[in-house]
Amino acid sequence: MPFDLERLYDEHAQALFAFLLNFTRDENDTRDVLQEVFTKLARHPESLRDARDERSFLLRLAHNAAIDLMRRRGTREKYHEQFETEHCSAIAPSSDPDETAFRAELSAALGELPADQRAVVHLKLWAGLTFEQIAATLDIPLNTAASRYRYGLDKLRARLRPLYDEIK
Amino acid sequence: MKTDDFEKRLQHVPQRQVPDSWRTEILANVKANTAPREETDSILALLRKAFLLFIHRPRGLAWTGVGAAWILILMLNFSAREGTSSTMAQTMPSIDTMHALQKQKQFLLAELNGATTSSEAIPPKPPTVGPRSNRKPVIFSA
Repeated sequence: MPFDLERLYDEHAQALFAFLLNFTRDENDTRDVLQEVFTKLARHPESLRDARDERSFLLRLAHNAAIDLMRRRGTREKYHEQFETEHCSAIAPSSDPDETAFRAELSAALGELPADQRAVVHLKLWAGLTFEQIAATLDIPLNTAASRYRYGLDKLRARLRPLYDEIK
Repeated sequence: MKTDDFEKRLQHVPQRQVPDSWRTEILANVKANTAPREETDSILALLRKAFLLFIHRPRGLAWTGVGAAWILILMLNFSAREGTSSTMAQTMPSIDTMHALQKQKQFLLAELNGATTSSEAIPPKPPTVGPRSNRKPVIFSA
């Protein structure tokens, strides 16, 4: 390999995996997109040279690849979506029953968010990106990133508040 | 935007770990998919890739349909043209037949003109012009 792909994988695969799993809600799609991202990098290693922030650049690649995949599959599987009740969660399981209930509810609430809001919420909360970085990663205006986050978080809050208050 | 307790609580929810087996699998696949593939890509594979890329673009399928319709129209047009020329060639009479038809036409014209003796149309004789003294005076009577 012309450059250190293994280092890139070790440093960023976890973040990409969590983002993609949260975005696609499907483990197979996540693996496909993850592989596509690293294949693109291996074919065009020069694309990484101009990137200011490796993580943001890779998240952007992953987001674009995931959108392409969803578009390709969207037309084919649109009519089968209603049968898909089980979605894959990006949240780790817990041994504590209260925490398990909270995480299950959080996972369901995330699944109900529109994909664009879910992506922003994930990048802000779990990838630790700033709104500027999120805007650059998703190629959206800064205000759009902030408003999507606010709308998404409000929905999560409304759904999880009773359970959150109970556990707290 | 200040982070409130609820956001902090969410931030502490851990995410699932990427499966360990994926590392070997993905890196091996990437290695296999990069260098040798570029060398062995045939023109056909490239065309196929370009076609797939095209139809997966927004409204790509529609454009492909329009393109296919145009190709069909052109093919029909060309085949119809070829059919017409070959039909014309088939129905075109031979030179002998054309000559016979020409003769028959001349005969019919001659018949219409009153010359029934010959099958050839006899051209009218040009008026003979003699000396002025030999001409008979023509008297027009009212």
